Amino acid sequence: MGQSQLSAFGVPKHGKNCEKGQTMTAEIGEVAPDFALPTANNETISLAQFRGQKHVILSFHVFNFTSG
Amino acid sequence: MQELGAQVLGISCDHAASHRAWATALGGLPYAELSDWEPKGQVSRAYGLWNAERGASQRAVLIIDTEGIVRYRRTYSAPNLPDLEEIVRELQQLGAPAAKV
Repeated sequence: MGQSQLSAFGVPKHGKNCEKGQTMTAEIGEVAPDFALPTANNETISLAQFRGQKHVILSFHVFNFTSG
Repeated sequence: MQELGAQVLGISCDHAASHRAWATALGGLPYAELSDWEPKGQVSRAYGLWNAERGASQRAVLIIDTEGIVRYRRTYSAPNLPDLEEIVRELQQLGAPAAKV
């Protein structure tokens, strides 16, 4: 995959797409904001629960991902 | 893949998830699908991945290490899918986390 394809999309600058007062953007080297979200099975998974145990790959999807 | 000590968390603002191609691109890793739905997009916003115009998060892959630090961040435009080999290389550089019981 070409880097140009990726960079062309543009990474949001600090706070650009965040609501006022939210400045966390989780850039490289920063502490990732913790969260707890429900799964389809109504379990709750938090980022913190993997701390010290596993690397976590976060995969964000778009709202209407029509190719999948 | 398990030896890389990584957990994949798929995060979607869509409560009716259909992300088969994306999940397949990350195939072979333990995978859990999470819903960023209540309140909508909260986590995407916290990660600077919220696209207000579209009311959706950007496609992105981040790697968080065992200390909770962001080590890798890549956003994708359609129809690009995550480069699994690149992600695996990144994980190999981080090394497998020490096993803790």
